[in-house]
Amino acid sequence: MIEQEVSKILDAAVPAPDGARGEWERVIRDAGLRRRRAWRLGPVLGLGAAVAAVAAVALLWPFRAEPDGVLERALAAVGDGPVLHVVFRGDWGGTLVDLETGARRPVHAEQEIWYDAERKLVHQIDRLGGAVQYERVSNPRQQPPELAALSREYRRALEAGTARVVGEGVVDGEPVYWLVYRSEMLPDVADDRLHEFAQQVAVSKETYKPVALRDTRDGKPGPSTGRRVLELETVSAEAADFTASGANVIDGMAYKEGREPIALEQARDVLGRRPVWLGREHAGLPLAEVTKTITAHGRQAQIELHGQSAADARECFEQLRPNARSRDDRPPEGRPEVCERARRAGRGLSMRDGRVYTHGPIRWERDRTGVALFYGMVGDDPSTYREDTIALFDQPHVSVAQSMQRLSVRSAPPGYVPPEGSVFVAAGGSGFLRRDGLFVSIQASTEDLVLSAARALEPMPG
Amino acid sequence: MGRADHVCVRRDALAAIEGLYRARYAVFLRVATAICGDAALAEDVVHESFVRAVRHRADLRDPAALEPWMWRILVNEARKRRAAEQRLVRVAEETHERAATNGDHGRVRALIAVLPDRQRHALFLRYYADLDYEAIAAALGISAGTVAATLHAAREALRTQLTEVER
Repeated sequence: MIEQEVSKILDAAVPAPDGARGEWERVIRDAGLRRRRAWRLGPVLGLGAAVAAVAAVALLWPFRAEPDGVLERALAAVGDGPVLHVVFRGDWGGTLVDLETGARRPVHAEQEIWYDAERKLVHQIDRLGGAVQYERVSNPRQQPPELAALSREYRRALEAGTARVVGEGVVDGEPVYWLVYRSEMLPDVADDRLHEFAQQVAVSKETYKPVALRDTRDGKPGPSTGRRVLELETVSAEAADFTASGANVIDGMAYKEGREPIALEQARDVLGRRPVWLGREHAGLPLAEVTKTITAHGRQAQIELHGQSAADARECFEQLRPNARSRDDRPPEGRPEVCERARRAGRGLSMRDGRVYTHGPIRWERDRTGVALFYGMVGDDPSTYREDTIALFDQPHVSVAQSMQRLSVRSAPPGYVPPEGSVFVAAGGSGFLRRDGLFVSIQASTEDLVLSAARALEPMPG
Repeated sequence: MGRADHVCVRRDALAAIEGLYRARYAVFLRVATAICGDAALAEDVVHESFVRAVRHRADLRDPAALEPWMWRILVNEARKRRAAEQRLVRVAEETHERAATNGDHGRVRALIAVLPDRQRHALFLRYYADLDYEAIAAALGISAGTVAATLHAAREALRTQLTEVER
């Protein structure tokens, strides 16, 4: 008997209450977890403005009381390490279109940032479809304001109870609370009145993790201030990643491309394999031009300046700063002498994270060849010689560029390869896909033409 | 422990308590029902236990000990409620008297109800909550060796009583 029968007896005595989930919200409420301190208004705020601000908050939050425990749980969700780790959804990317079904799926860029305020370290990685597009570890002399605010002020406002819930909403289908974690009353010269400029965080009602950020003025979101947050946490220094996995990119990128007309029959020799094409015409557009493309990528080294040259350059940038005033409180006239001195130290002076750089020589990679097929009209360019016959890109057209090497296809995002049978349509409207082992870029006058061309690609006969 | 550490523990503990509540609510409810003998009362017991845990989460020094700590709160709360209402005792006595004629459900409940508290609680935590001996020991405030002996005694008692009822 023993084990099995005891188990049977107990099962029969109290059946498992399947589906029982409890009421955690009630637990939190009855435990007395409430915002412990009232919202403290900044010292700049006068009494009249304070009344106005409180009234504004009351209007924004239409509920009788703030939901219990939101701040505590948001605080628990953000962690308590010294290093901020945040992943934003980028505001660039494209759309992946399945060529058979036409199904569309957004491909968002992501920007991952590790930020250690104490060590002044920033590790930024931009990705598209998981492929690294840009990566850099830097140690800026000045705190990046947005990261500094997220790193310290968000958590501090939650801990101190000065953050407040100002509304509810839905972000990408996820119900959220909007919290104000930083707020200032600042005058606007347009109406000479104080307005509340605030940073808000949307936290998921389920996980209490941040899912979006936005800036508001008097509670209204500013244009283009929203950022989707895919991850936001604070971690220990040991758990942070300040090691660039690939090239630490600060060098400038360079690109050059040359074209020369070839006969269609030469395309195979140029590519070293059978090209793909759209036939003799596509969507009523004739194959009008076949060219061999020769492309090369290069890197222009950024060389850091030191000593007097760097000091001159810093002084120059300071004097040229917008709204900068000279010592006698007048705007500088003409190019300051210090800038002339700085310019002699090198070309293309730039300042990054407090350091001064000048352009070094461009180091070109080897030339890569490809083939471009232009479907559309060619004609004279009235701005040049009459006998010029060029592709008319302002008329309906499709241009198919192809190569065995990714980098010779200009619109190909580094490292990103769309799945077989689909085309990646970038925000600008150009398409990129793999077909029969070739990297293919399609540019057309409309997105419909890009898609129809992507579907119509086939190996060139012969 | 400094103030910052204290705040940290409180915050982590709240998240951990919430996680435990969401993951194991049904199990807590089942054990509470078994101890109290009343499902509605058990809901109150679970609720009140977690309220107490949230309020006193700063007392939890070792996050790894959360679940046994939670069980201890719940068992104590259930005992307290049962003692206050004296409901289970009456139900148990009545049930035991009718056991032979009331069918399986009443019979098995009666068999368990007459066990000493410690044996019953150890059984519930072992079979319903699937706790190991260490966790049961922490929850009941006894040693792991005592848990083993208690569970053995409970099983033997159940077997004896079941045999007597079946005669």
